[in-house]
Amino acid sequence: MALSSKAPLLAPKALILVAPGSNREADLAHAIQTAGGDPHTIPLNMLSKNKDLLDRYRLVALPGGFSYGDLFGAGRAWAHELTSRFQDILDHFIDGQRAVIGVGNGFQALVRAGILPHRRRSATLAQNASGQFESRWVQLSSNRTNPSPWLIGINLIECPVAHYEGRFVIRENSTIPEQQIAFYYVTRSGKIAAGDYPANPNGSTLDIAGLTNLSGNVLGMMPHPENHVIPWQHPAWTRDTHGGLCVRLFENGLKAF
Amino acid sequence: IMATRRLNPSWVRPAADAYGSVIEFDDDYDLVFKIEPNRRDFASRPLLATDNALSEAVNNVITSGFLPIAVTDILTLSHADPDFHLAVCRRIGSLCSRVGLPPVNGATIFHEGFSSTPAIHTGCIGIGPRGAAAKHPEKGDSVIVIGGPTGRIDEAEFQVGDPLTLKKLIDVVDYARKKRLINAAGHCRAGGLAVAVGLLARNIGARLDLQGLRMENGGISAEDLLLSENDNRIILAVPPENVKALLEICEQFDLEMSGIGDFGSGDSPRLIVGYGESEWVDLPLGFLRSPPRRELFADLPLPKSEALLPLAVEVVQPGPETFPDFLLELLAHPNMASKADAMRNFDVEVRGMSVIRPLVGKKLDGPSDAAVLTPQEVGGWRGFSLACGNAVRIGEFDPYAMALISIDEAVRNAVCTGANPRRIALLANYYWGDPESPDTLGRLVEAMRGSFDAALHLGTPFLDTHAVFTKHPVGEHLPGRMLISSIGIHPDIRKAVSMDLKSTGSSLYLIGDWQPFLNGSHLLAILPEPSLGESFPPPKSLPARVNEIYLAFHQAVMAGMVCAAHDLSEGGLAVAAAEMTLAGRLGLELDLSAMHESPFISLFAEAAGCLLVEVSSEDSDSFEMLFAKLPFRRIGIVDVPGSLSISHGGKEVLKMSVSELRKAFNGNS
Repeated sequence: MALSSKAPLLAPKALILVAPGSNREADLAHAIQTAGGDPHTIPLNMLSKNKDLLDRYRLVALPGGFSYGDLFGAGRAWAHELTSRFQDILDHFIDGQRAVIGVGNGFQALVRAGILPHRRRSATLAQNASGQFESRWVQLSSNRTNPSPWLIGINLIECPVAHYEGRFVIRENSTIPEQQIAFYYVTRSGKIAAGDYPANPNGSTLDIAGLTNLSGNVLGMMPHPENHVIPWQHPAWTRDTHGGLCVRLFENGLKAF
Repeated sequence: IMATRRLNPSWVRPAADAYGSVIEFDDDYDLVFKIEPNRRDFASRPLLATDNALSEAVNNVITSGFLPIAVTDILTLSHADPDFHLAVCRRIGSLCSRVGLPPVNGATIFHEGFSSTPAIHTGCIGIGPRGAAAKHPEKGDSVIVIGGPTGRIDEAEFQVGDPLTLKKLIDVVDYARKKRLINAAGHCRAGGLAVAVGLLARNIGARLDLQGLRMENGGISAEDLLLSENDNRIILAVPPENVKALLEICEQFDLEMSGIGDFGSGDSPRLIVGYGESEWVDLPLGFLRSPPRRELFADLPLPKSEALLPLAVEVVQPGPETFPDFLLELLAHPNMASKADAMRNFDVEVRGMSVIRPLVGKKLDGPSDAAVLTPQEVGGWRGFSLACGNAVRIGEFDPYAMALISIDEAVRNAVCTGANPRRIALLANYYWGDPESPDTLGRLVEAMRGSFDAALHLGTPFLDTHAVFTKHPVGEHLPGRMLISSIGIHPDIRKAVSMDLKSTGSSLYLIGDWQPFLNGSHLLAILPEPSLGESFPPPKSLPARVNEIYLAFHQAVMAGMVCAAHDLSEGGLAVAAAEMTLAGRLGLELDLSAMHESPFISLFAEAAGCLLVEVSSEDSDSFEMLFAKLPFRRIGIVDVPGSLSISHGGKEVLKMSVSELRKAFNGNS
């Protein structure tokens, strides 16, 4: 039932796994296609019928949205589904050093499933410090000490956030190795946001906007790079403000693993 | 609709399910645009009524066989309560982001006459490959119900669908449509299951056994089963061989599905409903093909001397010393001031389609004329625009003129961003008083006559027209609401234009045949004592050459000559120029001597069919050549950041700092 695009024959295949209530899957498909990939979108429930399905794909992507209506917290029910029904399949895929990306709600699910940062309950995504839904464009700087292939050739990118629970918090008595941090929120001039709103839109600890696992093949982030893969998606393009395109990120995901 | 028949454009065609029309997007895809007014009482249950209206608009797009991709909203509220406005906008934002649809265009119109009947109209745009739209059921198709369970009818706790179920319905029907599993679809709104199935079955009939229907709880009466409404329940006509495949899709998305019968009832179309052995209903459906008609009377021509219809108010023209206060008051008026606070809750990025957003400019705080979107489903550079026009105040003076101005506004807003003026279609929503009152009905007839004439003049067909009639407290005046929405095709989104000034040294032009009117203008609403002096009634027709002007402007946009464009609407040239400066954080130096002998009229009178256009100095000559035979005026230049400065007859009549204008518009934030 996977819905396929009109991609070239040998384009790297990507699987977009959706849960009921996911809603940025079309955005991810567009980004993957723009980066030269061949995206297929399927509901998570399909996996239970076809456990070898993942073998055919280079990249697995978990989109944003409100999976299961965010019952019991953003991404929590999805994380439960992933770990209780598909832990072995996912472990196999991740241990095989293939690429995984979770964006927004997909990132929330990866954190709650204990796939990011490294073990369950070491970090969480809490309600935004502003107490409200944040929908705005942000600037991100990649962490140069993170060797992940996801970040090859990426310095500054710009893309929107749209979330209510996006404040990344490291739990007490837990630490995260610096090299796992993938993106920081920065100001328009590229300086670290240092917690300042709205450059850091949600109050995330250390301005962390995204991270990878230790081996660098799983990337999760709250902002939506899939919404800035062509220059005309930038809100100031009519004023000749360009740059910060995120398409390279998806090219890396499709080709660098 | 008569206008559409008369125009008979090749790029608009009747929807396959016979409800309204669709507009051609390109060679392969069509767009559908549906608008729903609140059916529930918006004054007492605003949030539930908002959910209800929005869900119904989305459901309408789903059941027409298209994929919902964006949302619009028009609120008509009384002045009283900004918190109310914010709460409703938060609700829209929350529901939209949960369903994954960007709320990209709309308007809020405050009017003291709306206090007992505030209303919301929500729109939904859908896209689909041509020929894939929902059609009619075939005899033998199974009647399938998907979505939420059927509950009891309870006015206090009506069944409002949750966004999760709504999103599942979008996904399931989209998958099923792509696999061509469905023949037709209907939506359980007014009249519930009985009406949804009855309408689908109007030509072939249906037999239902409600034993199969999933219920919310036990003890539901037969009447409730048949008539209870639920935003998130859809009836599908599915060929029997496809039912298993559909069930599989529903399982993938955790959506409930039940079979309750078959389409087809023998020789004549009947709706036969039973529960196991007992038969409840056996209703011939022939009456659906000849709906009842009622005769009502309208007072025409409209009486001229009535207090509510001052066809010509006369105005003493105040001197320049009052201009700054007028301009600040207009910019800060709730109808014009920034709605950024409310829109902060709107995720306009989801689906990645936004090219021109509701807020544009250097700091993203300028009010956009229209939204421009490019559907990623299709690829390429083609896009579409969404805009609206609602000149309610003019209707107080002249409903016919209101229709002209509203339609022109919905069109020129789209034209400003670069939409093709020959590919713009309209939706009209009337929210009107009691049709049994001949005066009220007379005003509706006048408005509809105006909309017919304007649509023919501009070459803009209607996709659909809806009217809601409402009773209101005796003695209270209810202004007629005519809400026009437009959808236009943008040939190349890389050339789309925003309204903020771009660069110092470029020229500012006023294009269009500027015919000023004050009666019904926004200025009149804030003038302390309109009396004596010359009268400026609203126009009796749109400028004759408005089409040529829009077309020439479109050519200029496609040739890349236009840096910025904004339409003249409420508040006249002064407000339009002020908005361009504050959005671009650049000044303007204008000379309005050539417009009208009165600087007051030149600044604040309103006019149809006019745009302010910024053109860079290197493109000025070619731009003027393009307009050589059309009405245009070069009225000034874009200045270094600083001020809006306007002279008239050699004298400075207004000079205000851009930051002062910005503060008035943004509410000092």
